[in-house]
Amino acid sequence: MTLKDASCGDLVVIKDFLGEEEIIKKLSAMGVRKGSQFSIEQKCGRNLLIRNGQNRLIISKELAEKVVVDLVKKGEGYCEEISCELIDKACPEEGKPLTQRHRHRKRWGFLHKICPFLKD
Amino acid sequence: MKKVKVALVGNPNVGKTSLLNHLAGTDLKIGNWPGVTVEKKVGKTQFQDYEIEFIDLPGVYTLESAFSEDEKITVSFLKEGDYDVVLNVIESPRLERDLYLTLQLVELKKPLVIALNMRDEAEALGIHIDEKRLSDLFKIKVVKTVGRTGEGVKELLSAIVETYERKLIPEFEVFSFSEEFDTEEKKLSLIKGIYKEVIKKPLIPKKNLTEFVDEFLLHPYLGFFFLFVILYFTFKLVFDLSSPFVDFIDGFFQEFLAPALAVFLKSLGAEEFIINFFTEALLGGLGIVLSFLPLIFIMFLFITLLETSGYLPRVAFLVDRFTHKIGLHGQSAIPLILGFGCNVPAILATRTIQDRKDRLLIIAMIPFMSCSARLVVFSFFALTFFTRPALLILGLYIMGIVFAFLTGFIMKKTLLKKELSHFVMDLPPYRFPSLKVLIKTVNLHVKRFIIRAGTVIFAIAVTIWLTLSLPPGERELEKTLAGKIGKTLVPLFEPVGLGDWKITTSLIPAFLAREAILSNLAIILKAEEREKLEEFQLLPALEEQKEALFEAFKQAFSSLFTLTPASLKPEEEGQSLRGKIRDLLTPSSALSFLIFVLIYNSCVATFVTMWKEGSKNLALGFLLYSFILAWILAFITYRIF
Ligand SMILES: Nc1nc2c(ncn2[C@@H]2O[C@H](COP(=O)(O)OP(=O)(O)O)[C@@H](O)[C@H]2O)c(=O)[nH]1
Ligand SMILES: [Mg+2]
Repeated sequence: MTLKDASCGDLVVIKDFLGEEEIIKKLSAMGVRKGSQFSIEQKCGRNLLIRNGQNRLIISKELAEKVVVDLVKKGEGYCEEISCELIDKACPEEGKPLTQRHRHRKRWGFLHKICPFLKD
Repeated sequence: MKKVKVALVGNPNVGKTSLLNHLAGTDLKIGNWPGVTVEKKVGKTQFQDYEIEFIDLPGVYTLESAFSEDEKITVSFLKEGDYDVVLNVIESPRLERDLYLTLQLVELKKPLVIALNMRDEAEALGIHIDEKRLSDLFKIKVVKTVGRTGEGVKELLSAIVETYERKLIPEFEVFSFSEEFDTEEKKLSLIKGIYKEVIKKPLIPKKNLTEFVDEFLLHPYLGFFFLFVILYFTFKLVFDLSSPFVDFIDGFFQEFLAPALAVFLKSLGAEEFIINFFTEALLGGLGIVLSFLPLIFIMFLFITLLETSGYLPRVAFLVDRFTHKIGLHGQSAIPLILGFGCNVPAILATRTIQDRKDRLLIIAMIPFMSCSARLVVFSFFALTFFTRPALLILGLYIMGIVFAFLTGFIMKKTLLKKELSHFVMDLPPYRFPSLKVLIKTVNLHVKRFIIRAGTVIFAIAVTIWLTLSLPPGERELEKTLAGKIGKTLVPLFEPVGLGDWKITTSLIPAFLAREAILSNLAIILKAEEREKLEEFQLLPALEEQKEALFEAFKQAFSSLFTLTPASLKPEEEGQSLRGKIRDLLTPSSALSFLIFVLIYNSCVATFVTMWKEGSKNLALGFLLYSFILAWILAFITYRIF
């Protein structure tokens, strides 16, 4: 699985990276290295907040998708409770079509105002 | 005397600049977020028989590839620059991360010293680093330091000298440089090995304050609540704590200094021309700008607190959920917030942004953030014309933010179309600067404000005052040079309710510095009604000032205990500058004026920085755009209200 698939509270160990981009080098330099363990402190909106000891990083999901991890310990406890569902669902990600429920809304509905990129 | 050049290199936010400030006694800007230093800065000191020059470089994580403008500066300096010793600053609690860069620095084959900074934080966490062992492994000097207080700086200086004299180039004892060293895997295990050798830390890490506070401040929902509360109180306190003192200083200039100086000059037998110059241009014009010193002071106190506490990167994390809808990283919130202090350093702060298009976009948004110069103009006019000044100013700030994002959104969809790029950012623990550093930083900002008033605004004030007396002997101000220039511009500003030549004359030089609007108006209005010298007695007047000062303290103090911004009562009509300006404008044209000042990019420093950091087209295009936008908005405001 990738870092993006890990849920809030999980402890994972980094196995590999997908792709050869320069940014992977930066990740390594910042401490996201093969073999290091990270716990996921928050997963909300577009970003993950991860921690290894005193090293805490904010990393976007697109980048987290390039990091292959193994689950060490499944998360439990408070972290799931403060879910970000409400925020994540209020505005679907850019590019994704609206779900059925929204389709009949008017073009200038409230949703369009807060998510201006939505088409139809 | 021998000269030694030392390059400070390390990950961002490890305390390089703090250390340099102690090493060389400089006053360089620090802050608790990655990306404070974006330029190469130099500090010098003398130690024993050496003149040591330190070069502070922007932080980098790796030398292999530079991602942003600031990182490029460091990487190219290390490759081509002129330096004798590398001082690698390491954040002790995150030694393992920082060693990655250290290994790359080893490959430079230059004399190297390691400073294990933030020793205090490491100790508080129960982390112990065996610096002797580290020093043996690399065969170089390793010194523990505290950048916050300057502990260990003396030892560091002698270590630097020794490194220079003995050419202590790092080499490994146990881990020899083998052919395979260049593989990433080997390097990582080498780091792990070194780390294990030198570190002792508790098995179960202590839960620290940062984690506790972040449970609230980074909470998905509560976080926004606290963000709002923090910004609201910042705004309220900036306004409430300063306004009693602004009033006091204003009164001190107008009611005490000006008449006292006039009486004094008269007793010396000075000519009327000289007396007018001092009371009108100097105390009338410049004084009004300087009276806003308390506002500037408190404003920068709060901005510095935000910057040095480590809250800024948290804001970046929180607001990312919204900014990414217009295709921007939350990180862009940092320069935007800095823009509330001054747009110029805010534009420089965009250097940390990796993508050039993102960078241009944010540069185009920054001028909409109301800087302190605008706050000065806003507070003056808001207090003069409106019954709820704090609310109005808050409204103007929000309006600026809205237009920043609208501009960003439109540019994103048209000129700067692109995909959202990757994003990774370091989240530092909360830190509190020493009081000394805090006061020093704020004082620097204040000094800059005074210097600006003392040079640019002073020059403008004198020019305006002189043009008001040309041609010589002209009694009617409208027929003077200043009046004529202002009048030619009247048609342009008439439709937005600013058809008075006094206003337009004040607006032109404001392109150099916005605060000049106030000094210009003050000079013009003072010249219009030259006052007769009244009876003035020093001692009773002094007594009056003393009482006013006491009153100011009382007001500021009591404002600490209210929730809503105290709305000060507008002054009654009269001789004061406020009264005169109130005769000049109606509330609706005053509002349209404020909106014009908010939106139009009238600041030569911002313009030049946009040109240098962005491009010529951006700077010129934005100037035109902001003028047209400002004009249209002012027009709408004037017609509606
Ligand atoms: N507790 C502690 N804080 C430090 C120390 N050195 C620097 N800081 C703080 O760390 C933050 C980053 O410092 P700065 O000098 O701007 O780091 P730079 O980005 O490497 O130049 C600031 O908030 C400093 O006050 C230290 O030794 N101990
Ligand atoms: Mg720095």
